[in-house]
Amino acid sequence: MASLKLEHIYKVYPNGHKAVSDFNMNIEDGEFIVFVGPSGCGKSTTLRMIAGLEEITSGELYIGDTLVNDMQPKDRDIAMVFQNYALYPHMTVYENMAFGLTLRKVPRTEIHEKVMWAADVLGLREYLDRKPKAMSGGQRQRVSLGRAILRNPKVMLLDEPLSNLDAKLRSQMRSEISKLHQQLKTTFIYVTHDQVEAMTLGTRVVVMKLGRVQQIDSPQNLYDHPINKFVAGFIGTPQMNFFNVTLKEEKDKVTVNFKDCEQPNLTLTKDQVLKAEKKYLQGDKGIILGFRCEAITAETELVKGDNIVNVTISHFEELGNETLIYGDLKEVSGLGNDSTTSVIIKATSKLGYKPGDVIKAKIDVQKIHLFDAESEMTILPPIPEKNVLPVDIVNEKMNLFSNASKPESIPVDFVKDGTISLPIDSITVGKGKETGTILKIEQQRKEYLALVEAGNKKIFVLVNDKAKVGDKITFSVDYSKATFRDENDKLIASPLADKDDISATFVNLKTAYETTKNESFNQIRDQRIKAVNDEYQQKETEFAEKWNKLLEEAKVKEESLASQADSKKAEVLKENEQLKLDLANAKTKYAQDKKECKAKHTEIKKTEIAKIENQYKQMWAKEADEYHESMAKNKDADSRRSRRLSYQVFKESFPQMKNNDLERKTNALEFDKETELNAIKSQFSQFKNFTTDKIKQNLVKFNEEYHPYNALLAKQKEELKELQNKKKDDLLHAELIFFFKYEDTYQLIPDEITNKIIQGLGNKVFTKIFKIRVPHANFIKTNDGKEYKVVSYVNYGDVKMYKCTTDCMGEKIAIYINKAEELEIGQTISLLPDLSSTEIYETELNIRLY
Amino acid sequence: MEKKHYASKRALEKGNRILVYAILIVICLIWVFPFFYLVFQSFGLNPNPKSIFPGPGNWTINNYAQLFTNKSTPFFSWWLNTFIIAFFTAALQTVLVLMTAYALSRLRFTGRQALMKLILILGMFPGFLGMLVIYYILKLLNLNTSIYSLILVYAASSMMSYYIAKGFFDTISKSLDEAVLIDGGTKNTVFWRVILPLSKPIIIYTILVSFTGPWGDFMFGKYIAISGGLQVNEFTVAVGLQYLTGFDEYYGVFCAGAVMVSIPITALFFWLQRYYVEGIAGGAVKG
Repeated sequence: MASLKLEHIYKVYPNGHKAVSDFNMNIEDGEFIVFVGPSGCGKSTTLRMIAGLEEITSGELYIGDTLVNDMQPKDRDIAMVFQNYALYPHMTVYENMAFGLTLRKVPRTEIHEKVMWAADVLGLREYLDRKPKAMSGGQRQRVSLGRAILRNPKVMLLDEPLSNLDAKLRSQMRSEISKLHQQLKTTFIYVTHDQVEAMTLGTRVVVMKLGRVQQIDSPQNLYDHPINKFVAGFIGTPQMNFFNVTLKEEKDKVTVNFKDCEQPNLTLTKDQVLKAEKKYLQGDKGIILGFRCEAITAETELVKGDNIVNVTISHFEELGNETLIYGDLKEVSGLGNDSTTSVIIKATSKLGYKPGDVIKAKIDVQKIHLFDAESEMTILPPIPEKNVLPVDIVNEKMNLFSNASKPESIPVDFVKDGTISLPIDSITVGKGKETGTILKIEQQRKEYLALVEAGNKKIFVLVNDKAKVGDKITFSVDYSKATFRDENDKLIASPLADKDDISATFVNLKTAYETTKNESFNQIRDQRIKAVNDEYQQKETEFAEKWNKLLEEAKVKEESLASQADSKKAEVLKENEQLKLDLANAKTKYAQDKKECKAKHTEIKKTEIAKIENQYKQMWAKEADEYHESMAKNKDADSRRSRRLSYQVFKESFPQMKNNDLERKTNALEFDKETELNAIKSQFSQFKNFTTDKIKQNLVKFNEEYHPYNALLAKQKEELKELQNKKKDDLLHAELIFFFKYEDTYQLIPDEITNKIIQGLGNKVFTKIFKIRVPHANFIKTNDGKEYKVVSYVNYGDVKMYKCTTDCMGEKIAIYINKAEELEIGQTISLLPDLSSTEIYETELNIRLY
Repeated sequence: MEKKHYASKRALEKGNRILVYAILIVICLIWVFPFFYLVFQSFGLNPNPKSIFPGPGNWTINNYAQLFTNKSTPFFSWWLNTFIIAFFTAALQTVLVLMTAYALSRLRFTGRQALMKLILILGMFPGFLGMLVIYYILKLLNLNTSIYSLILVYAASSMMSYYIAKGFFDTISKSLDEAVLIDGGTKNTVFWRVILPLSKPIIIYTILVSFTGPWGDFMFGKYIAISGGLQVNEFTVAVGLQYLTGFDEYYGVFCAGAVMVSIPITALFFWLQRYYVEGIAGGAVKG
């Protein structure tokens, strides 16, 4: 049981194919997560990366709180169920399930208990002595599940476990898996390409396409609020209906015009599209309208009022309890269906229509979805990205919400009016000079979105859970993120990137030292080595003290027990003798049982075969008799011929039939025999294992009790070795220090970041160029930093920044820094980024490393 | 009309079958003739290479007796030498071949493809092209005076015949490996506890092939025998039998020796055959 964290996970294959790009997700303990998507979308790859079967190119994977990127699959404490079951064919069901625990050296009695528990949970008790080949697909998959659950793993991974089963078994297993999850309360991750499985099983579903996550949400939310056209089309059967339309804002409503067909316009209320950007409502931008088959109705009594379209029926699909009407918004004849105008309507029956009829259908506009035709993203996101507002310029000053602080960064001297676009994260509630009133609050997952009226404008802001409708709030605006266009749509001010990019290369100590001859670099290394040495010196002394004491105690104890040791040893040996004797007896009994079992089955086989032989002999005789009889009686040529032919056919197929029957019987008997033999064998081997364990344990226990000194000595050696190895490792790490090189400036990289970069790129790090993205506030003034010239001072309303420039790789680059202290224009300052709060990218493949 | 067609087709099929069997029987006779010839000759009192049967009154087991008792034809020593060489070569070679095949089937390492191609190309050269080199290497290691250095010679190049085992391993589903890795095993566990138990047929095959190779090899044995200046009792059976052909009076003994040589191989085959059960991998994965 554990949570999982996936941070910027990438999988890039050696041929450059990006199978998974920037996968981010937090999975909570006990969740049932389903990865779904068409084939080749990277869902299985992601699962295999979690399992450790596939290396992670870049990014971090945490199971619980442990980073597991470099951990072996066996150490991750996960279990996996494979599509093709992957049972070990040479082992019985019992051995298959016990194998994992045997490898982990779990005591045998415990293994036995657990196998029995798992067998009970999955109803496999009576199959324990069978081999996989004697079982059906559903049973095999259940064994595979049993093998997984019995280790009580932190995470259960299921890779399309049901795709090899037939439809009926699949739905049965589906509910079993669901029950299993409720019973175990373990984190499940389930991969499937079947959206029905995804919707029915998942507490949250991850929809993926071409290696990218499209949407992560609960099944209901995916169905009701798909984020883009792909998700809308992928989730739900039959597929959502899509049409090309345009939106036009009118006085108090918004009209929807169909582009590819002649249909009356639909009307929406303005509130419905409040979150949509204004540019979509001009009537010229391509929009995709989507609605599901249940959001349109053709039932006569419901078709009245607005939003009615004409549908030409092409054909029906009757599903018993409901009927799908396939039609087209265009009047087409025959089969010339145009996919951009075809529509599916759900109805209770055929409603008395026939193909070719033109009927009226009403669209429920409350249940429609609107997508941008170019990006295919929804234009009504749960949380809009930005607020686009009209701005009046009064006295060469912006009049936005009030006359509070206005940014000098937006030059409005020669502009009459225009529009400003403020990203939602540029508005911070709770401080600042602007005020407004909350009109509406809606909860979007863990965030609260409020519609606020400020001045004469309505904006969306994020508030905390305590805010209520009607509250007065204060907020501030970060104009560095704003875009301003004048009345002719000319760009006046564009947003400042929220981070500055600087380029760097990765160098080791030797290179850094040789180029700069800076002794302080070597000093850093020496200090680190010294620190490690000091640390271990102390540890070693502690270790020696601890063990000396322990060993001395052990010695004293051993001496005091020496007098009893011999008699005790004799006792133990005697007991072991008895156990060995028992074992030998069991062995002879086992051999005998086996022999008897074999003899019994040979006998059974013989009688069964004789039975069949006899049966066929009779059949042969009977047919021959009948034939001769009918030939003797019958004089009609035609029927004689047909009788003769049928006899011929019988004679020809007879040996084959007999063989088939014999083979079937022998196979069945063989299975029975094998199962019985396995049962005898496993019974014996359990006894044998138990006894040999006991013999060993008796000796070990004796030694521990009466000769503790030697045991301790061995343990001490082991621990000492471990300590020394650790020291060696730490020393090696202390020696390895790396720098980012900016032109002629070097910056020491913290170990944490170095590890991640090297983990991501291996030994290619030295040939790559890195892009470091630094937030404006995270430049630190130091003495040995890179020199920047302060060029100007920019006022972004509540935020103030200095623009600084420098030469980097032959180019002049500008950065903006956000510092509390006053800087002089023209001054040169020496700066370095605070690496712990930056993002680091590799430029060639554009992979985020930190 | 219909009936006639039916009957003629049947007759044709029957005729065809008779023809096929006739050809097969002829081929079979040609094929087993040398063996029977050898067996009969080995029981002949007076060697007469020109007739198949020794003739009435000429039957004897004297050749066999002489084979084991005559000091100048130390057949038992040869047989033992060869058996030791073949046994150790088979053991070494089986392990090497299976491990190589597993590595090339399952592990993905740099140069894997190149290595496979290289082995393929090297395999196209006749093995004895390397004789000279092998001789010098053996001399360097001071091994050229012992017939047992043949073990080293045979085993060294043995992993070149990994193809069939690799082909077999390729058919075992990779998810079995992955299941073991997740269950807590290592690549070693996969190989020894899952792949090998599933590969009985191919193990048997490898043992048989790697035993028969050294058992019947003449070229390298003779080479070492000559260059090392070995005594007669240090020969392998192939070299020894060739030595016998140098004496006309040993003709019958030679035939008896040849028959004796075939016995271990036959025994080995019959012993291993019962493990040679196909379909052992059934039920591993959906099939």
